[in-house]
Amino acid sequence: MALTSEMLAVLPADLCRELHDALESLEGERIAAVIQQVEAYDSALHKTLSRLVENFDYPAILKALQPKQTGNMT
Amino acid sequence: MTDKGKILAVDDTPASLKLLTDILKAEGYEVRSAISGELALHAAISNPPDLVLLDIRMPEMDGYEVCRRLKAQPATRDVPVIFVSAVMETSEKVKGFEIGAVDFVTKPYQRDELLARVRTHLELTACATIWRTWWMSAQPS
Repeated sequence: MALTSEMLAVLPADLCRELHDALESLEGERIAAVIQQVEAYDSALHKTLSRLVENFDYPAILKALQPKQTGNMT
Repeated sequence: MTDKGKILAVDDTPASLKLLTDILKAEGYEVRSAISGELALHAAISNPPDLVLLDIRMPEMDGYEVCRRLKAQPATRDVPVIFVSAVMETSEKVKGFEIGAVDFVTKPYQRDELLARVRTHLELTACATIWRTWWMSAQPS
């Protein structure tokens, strides 16, 4: 399943920011810790993110995170 | 803080990147893995690794370009770069050395050879750092 910015809308802004920073740092443990926190908000989203991270597809997640930081797209 | 060293592994193929990451982690290195040149460059500049293992053939920003940019930044200029690639034309190797690579590993590689090259270059860089520090302190001010 493709990740969209709408799917990430359930997450608090702080968690999104931490996810963004963790992905850019490329630190595996830090990324895993943030992804783990997502499970409490949305287990399907957690699964999608876990699969992307397993394949190192950080660009897909960073891309979905982007519109939220620059304003809402309608 | 790890004593074995921090390595940045870069390869656009998830399976290759996973293999590289697993081999290095099993050996005790602290590994960060990047699926693209852009991600690698950003992470390397904000937190310089001790060594970079870099795939040459990648879309958008290829290994040569990543290496060139690492060598242009003061923070990452002295970080040794080893190219990991199936590309093995002599002219392409020479090009790699010209832009600052210290070594090449040919895909498919043997685990032990990869680790031996990594170890050697980490040691050489450590020696160079010690020497440079000594030389700077020996200069009259």
